Amino acid sequence: MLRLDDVHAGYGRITVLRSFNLDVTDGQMVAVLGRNGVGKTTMLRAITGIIPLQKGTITFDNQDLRHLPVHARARRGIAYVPQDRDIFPGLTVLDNLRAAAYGSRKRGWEEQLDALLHEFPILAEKRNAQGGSLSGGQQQILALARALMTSPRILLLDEPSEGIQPSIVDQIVDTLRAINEQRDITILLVEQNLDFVSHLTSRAYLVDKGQVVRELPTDDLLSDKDLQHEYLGI
Amino acid sequence: MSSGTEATTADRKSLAGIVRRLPLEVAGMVVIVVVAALLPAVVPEYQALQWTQWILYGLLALSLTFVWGHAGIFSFGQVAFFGIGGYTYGITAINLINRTGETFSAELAAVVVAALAAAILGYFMFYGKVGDVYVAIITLATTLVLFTFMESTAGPKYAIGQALLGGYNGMTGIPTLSYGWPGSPATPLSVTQTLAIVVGVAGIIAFGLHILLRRPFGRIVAGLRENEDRTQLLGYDIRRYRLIVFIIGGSIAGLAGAGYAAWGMFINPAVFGLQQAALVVIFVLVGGRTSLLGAFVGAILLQSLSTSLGGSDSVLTPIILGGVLIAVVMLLPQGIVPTVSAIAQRLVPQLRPRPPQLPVPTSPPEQLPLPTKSDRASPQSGPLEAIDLRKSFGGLTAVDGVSLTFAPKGVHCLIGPNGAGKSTFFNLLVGRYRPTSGQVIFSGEDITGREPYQRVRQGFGIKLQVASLYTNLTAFENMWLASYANIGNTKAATQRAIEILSWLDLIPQANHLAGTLAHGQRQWLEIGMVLAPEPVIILLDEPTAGMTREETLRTVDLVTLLGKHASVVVVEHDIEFVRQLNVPVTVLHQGRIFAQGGIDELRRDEQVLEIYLGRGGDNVEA
Repeated sequence: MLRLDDVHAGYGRITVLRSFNLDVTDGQMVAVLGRNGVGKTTMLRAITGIIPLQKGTITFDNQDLRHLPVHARARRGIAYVPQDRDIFPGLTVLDNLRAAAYGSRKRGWEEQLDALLHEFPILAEKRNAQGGSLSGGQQQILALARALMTSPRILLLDEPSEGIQPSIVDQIVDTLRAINEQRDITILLVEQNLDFVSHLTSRAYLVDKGQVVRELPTDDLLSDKDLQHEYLGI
Repeated sequence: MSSGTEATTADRKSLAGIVRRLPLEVAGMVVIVVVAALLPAVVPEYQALQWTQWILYGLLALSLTFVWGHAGIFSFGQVAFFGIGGYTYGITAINLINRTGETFSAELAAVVVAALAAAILGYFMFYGKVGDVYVAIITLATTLVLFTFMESTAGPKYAIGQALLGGYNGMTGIPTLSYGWPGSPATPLSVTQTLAIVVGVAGIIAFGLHILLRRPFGRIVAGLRENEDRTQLLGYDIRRYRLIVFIIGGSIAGLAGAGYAAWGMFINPAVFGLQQAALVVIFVLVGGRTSLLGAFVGAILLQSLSTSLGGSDSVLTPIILGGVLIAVVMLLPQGIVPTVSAIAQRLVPQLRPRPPQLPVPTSPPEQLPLPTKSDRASPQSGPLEAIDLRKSFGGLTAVDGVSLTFAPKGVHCLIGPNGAGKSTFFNLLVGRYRPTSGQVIFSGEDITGREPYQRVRQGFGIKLQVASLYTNLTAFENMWLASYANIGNTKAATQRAIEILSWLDLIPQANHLAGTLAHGQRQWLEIGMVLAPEPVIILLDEPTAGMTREETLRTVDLVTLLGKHASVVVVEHDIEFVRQLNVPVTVLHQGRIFAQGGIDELRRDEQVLEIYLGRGGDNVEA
């Protein structure tokens, strides 16, 4: 479904991803793990089109994304929740969700909005609160719901567990699993939190210095301290 | 463009060399002077009158070219100083001409008053750290305030001595340029004599600016325009340089204004008008923002066009002028003179500027010696200490009581997972943030409240995470600016710049623009710039970000070597780099020191792994 072939990307003249390869099949939940600065976020930004490719190809449903601008990729079903969530702080919860609906121009969004509010009671409760006034965990839920408003086919998540209380992290695990299983939305997840990943996915990719260095079952990684030190610790 | 031409040894002495290095500007200047000398003989008087006005406008535009094109200060206020100069000339000349018998003292008074006005306005803007856009707004507002003020000075009660300000009708009866002696009646200059003097003075001023821009002052000003942060971190007081530039610009505009009042024997508040303010910007844009000659070309071209269309009263004039401006901005974004100059250089290879010959040492330096220390008294050198540093942003405490001492020599690494507070801590050491509480001590002295440039002068070398170079200057010029900041001697700075470039193996790229270098080379160039003033504390934030493995390994050698001469603090999240360095490491987590020790020891520490895996227990929650 989503495929990265020999992708080189970075910022200006700086190359962060060097020959990055990844293959995500439909309906899967895939985790990409690695330390700070190895290129995880850069990979997501390259997929969304926020940064251009220096080399290589990214295909989505067998279609080359190269010449598609960011908004066109979003309309094709690629939804991105960045690490700092990018909630519109001055808009209410409802307006944050509506903004997503207007952008993707999908019909029947009002029903969808009601369904989402039903599914996430915390958002219904805070519907008229300003986005910026929500806690970190609530913002993460709002960001997920906002992404779902666009009826995406794949969800790109950048460290959804970062800066969030452990109790809420569990809730996010459940939410993501439900999104993947019930809505049949593919999830590509970038993380440093191994426990969080192990609750969600069975396979993980390890990234170092802009490349995938390993692909392995999450359980194997969980039991291999050396590997953890090598690629996730110091 | 001209500020970049570097004069160095080698072919400086030969006449051919000098001729070859002469840029178009000088040639243009010569043409102007020759034309000035010939004009009185060939042009009829009415045309001489016109040319005088055009040249005066060119001088006004020149002041903006200098301030904006070369120093990057976008000022709408040049017409304010022009008008102030004009009115000052009028008032002084009317009152003094019968006593002194000449009006050149009034010209001088106009320059002084305009310079003073620029100094006052500039002081508040630059020392008040007003942003670029606001400089434009403040200068425009000042101009319009003067317009309104002068409009309201109609009536006999608004007089200074014998000079009536005249309100919206303007000040009349201003003497033309005259010479003579106190006691005897003044002799006015003829129209053609005035033209010759105006052209001569304009030529001299333009040439003076040209020379100034090639001096160290010009390079520093270019640095200021290209990268304010870096210039500051090299230890230059940017506020002072901006102010000086602004005062020079104001003086030139004032002189032009005085000439204008003398030329027309009249001045009115329209000189402070919006249209006039915009016109100067248009002159400069059309002629070429970076070209001193362009200021005159723009002014003469547009003024002659406007005259041939029937002057500013014609309905057509603004439309055509607007059209010209749009055409130039769209088609020749560099402006006319730089474009013509580039075409000429393409057609005639001899006109191309030759890269300066750098005094490269004949024998390549041995493998990685640190550039020789100058015998300058070495700055104070003692440990750098952080004492219970804390920094909060709103409710979030990013650094929460960190105490660390860095020995006078050696490398120290700071690492930590996301949000550990590494960058905040770094910025506290650098002086970009003020701590909420706690102290930074250097050699026993409390430097907590010092600005980054003050710390640099005390011996700090700072490399921020985002590469900060002058991308439009050459590698050599970058290094030169860094060296000059501390040495203050052109020749010694050149020598030091070459030394460091050759040490970094960057001599082949010395004449390349920094923006065109490979990423690793740019990082090294910047590290070299940090080293140029021989700092005793070197602070590096993620020096290997974006480097290839080979480049990273070379940087390891470089940093190791620096550690033998200075105290080096490195914030890094490239763990491979930290492993290779093999130096004492401090792990930060949630704003506190979590662990300290050698990298191997820390690697075996399960708790350190835990925090990297996000199992740090009480994770932050807003």
